[in-house]
Amino acid sequence: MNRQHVRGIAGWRRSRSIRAGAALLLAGVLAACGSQGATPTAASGSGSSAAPAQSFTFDPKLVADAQKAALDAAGGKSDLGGTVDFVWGTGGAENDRLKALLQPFTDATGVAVNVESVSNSGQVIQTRLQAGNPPDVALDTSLGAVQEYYRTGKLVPLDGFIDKSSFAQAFGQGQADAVTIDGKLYAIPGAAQGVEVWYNKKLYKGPTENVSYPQLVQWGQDELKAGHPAPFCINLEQAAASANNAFVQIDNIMAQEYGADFIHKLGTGDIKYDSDQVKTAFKNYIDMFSNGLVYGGANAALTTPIKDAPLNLFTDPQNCQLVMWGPFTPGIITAANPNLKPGQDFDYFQLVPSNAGQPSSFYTWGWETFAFSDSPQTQAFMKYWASKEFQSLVASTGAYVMANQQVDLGVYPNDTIRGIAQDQRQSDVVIGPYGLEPSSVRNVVLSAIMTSVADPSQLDGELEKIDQAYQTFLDGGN
Amino acid sequence: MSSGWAIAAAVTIGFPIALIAYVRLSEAAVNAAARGARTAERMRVALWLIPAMIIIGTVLFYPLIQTIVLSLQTKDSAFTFDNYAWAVTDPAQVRSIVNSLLWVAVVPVMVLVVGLVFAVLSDRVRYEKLARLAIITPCAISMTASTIIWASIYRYSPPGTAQTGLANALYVGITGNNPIAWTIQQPLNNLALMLIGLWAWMGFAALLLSAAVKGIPVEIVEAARVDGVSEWQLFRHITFPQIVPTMGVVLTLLVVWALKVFDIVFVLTQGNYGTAVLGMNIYSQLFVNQNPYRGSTLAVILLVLALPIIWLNLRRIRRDVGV
Repeated sequence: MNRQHVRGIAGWRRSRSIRAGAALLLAGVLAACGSQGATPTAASGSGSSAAPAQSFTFDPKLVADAQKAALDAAGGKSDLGGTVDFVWGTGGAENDRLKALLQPFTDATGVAVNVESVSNSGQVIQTRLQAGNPPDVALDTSLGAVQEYYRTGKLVPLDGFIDKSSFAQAFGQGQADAVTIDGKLYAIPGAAQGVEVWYNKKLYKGPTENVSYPQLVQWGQDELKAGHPAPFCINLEQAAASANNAFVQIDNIMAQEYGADFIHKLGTGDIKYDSDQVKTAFKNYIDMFSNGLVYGGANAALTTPIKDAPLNLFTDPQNCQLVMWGPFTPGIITAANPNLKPGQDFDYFQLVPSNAGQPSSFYTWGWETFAFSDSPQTQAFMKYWASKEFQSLVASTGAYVMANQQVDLGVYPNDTIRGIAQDQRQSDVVIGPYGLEPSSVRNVVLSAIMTSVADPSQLDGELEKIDQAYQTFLDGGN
Repeated sequence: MSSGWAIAAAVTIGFPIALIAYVRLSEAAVNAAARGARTAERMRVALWLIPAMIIIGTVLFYPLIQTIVLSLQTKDSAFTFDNYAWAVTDPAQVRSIVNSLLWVAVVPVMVLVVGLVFAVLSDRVRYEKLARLAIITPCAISMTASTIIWASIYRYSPPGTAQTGLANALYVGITGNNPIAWTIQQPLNNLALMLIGLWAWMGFAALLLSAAVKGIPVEIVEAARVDGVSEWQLFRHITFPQIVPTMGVVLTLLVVWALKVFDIVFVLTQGNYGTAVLGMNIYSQLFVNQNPYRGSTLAVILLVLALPIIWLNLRRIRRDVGV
């Protein structure tokens, strides 16, 4: 007998609940998909990382110069051939742009560059190292990572084929020292990103000249009392890299307030996170989320993508007035709002020290390229990467402020990015904890920031954890 | 062709050829050496087991032993229980163990209950196939993609602004309260994460349980109805006992999955806000802190937690097949 025949009427009545359940499930799926696409900030803010593949065009003269530099780097061998495996952590449009920037190298030398973008590049490189299959070349935003790879004994010194004195001349002695370990050159700085304070030129009425962080906070509190929009937008969500913007913001604040030497020592573990100055800097920053200075407070900050923050300057009504972030901010703004022009619709200013006697620092966190092979192809690639010509080509995109100080300021495509490059050259460039700490410590700092933003009472304990993690690293691990 | 492709091709083609050659050679050896049928059978079993033992030993037992050995070492010490002491005293690790146990206690039960309700009810409607399709759909989505979908559902916007996340849109719309930060607010956030597990797995459970329900002999159900049993009595005394073995399989798989859970936590919170689980901390120790010793220790603890489930499952299988 068929089972259908023995079903009772009662069973048919129960079908309503199933129908309702199925409908709810489908509604959930559709709503989830719908909300993803319907969120204006998520869709519009994806310009830097989620845009579809696109073609890039560069100044032909810069391309020709880059090709010549590539040929020189290959010792004049236009048929060098072979491949270079390159791993880094940035995808989407930036990855496409990098491939386009490396095309002159391939055209001039015949060396194919296999660019692999993986979001957790540090872990991928470590795993490949352990498997005995490291990439030829990799890029990381941390000098601490370079130190970690140096410890493995697999990192290739570059001074066998790159002249140290001309390198120091091009990048400045400070940056040359930063990438030198035990007297040997191990990495090439690429971009030297800073942290600027961005604002909507048509709406922002606050201070822009010689503003220190305490002054900015005071101004923000006055704005709140006056019932104006929230002073700051700080979003922290970015999967495994969540809160990295907060990390560099705090670094920059400390660089201005306590000086370049202080944050350098903090980054190398010579100053503890448990020190009063660091505690004060972190507390003041974390407090901004709970006292109304940050749009949406802690919950919104912790759950909203980092890249959406600058878009809040242009909402109607305006959600917030200032965003502290790097030179790539204009790219994010203009990708979402193509009609907006840097310098015309939005601009930036740099924070300065509270103490007028203290020199201001250009804080950066590095963008280091290093090699695990010393094949002729890799040597040519590294020489090309360090060349003024390649770094000029990158600078011409307007997405990065380059570390090579021989890059002609004229190649930057607009006054805004050119201004940041000028700031970099006129200040002490200092790499702070974000760029100096090993990934194990950096991860604890990121977690400490998120935990403390969610619950400020945990700040002291979290800072102690950072010191413990650094001590463990300095002791060579457990 | 790159060396990677060459190796892949060699393994794909070479491995079956080598296996067939081995079987033929072993048969030849058995025929040549064995005198009686019983001896030949024993030789055949032994020879055929060797390749499987080598493969299992290489990919399972050797890494397992290596993991246990590493868990008993530090960079300074060849043999120590320090890692285990750390694992059971460090608050972050204890929290992750507790959270993992919480996942084991909550998710399999939730999935089983929902799956069971669906299996029993869907068996009584005409549009069962459509309902089954709806509930099975999440299984076809990778766990990472599912989690990203749920990140949108849990999206938080400041109070007073439009709530673009479904959960807060419903919550604020119905209650009029301020939105909830579902992924941050403790201990609610752990439940919010577990709900993703429920969503992803309930279709799988429902499918297996549905098959089990359909496998109940019609005569038994009909006889019960003729005897005038109520729907509840039918479920309690006929349906439920008949599908218990399937529930055991589903529960075992879910418990093991819940113990190993990593992707949901990694994508949504990275283990922050009190959501870390063992899988997350193993990853952090191995790949972020590059500490294979502590990472191995946590992996061994995970294995120990899973062992009773595996043992119970093995016992059940043996009972079922009458070994």
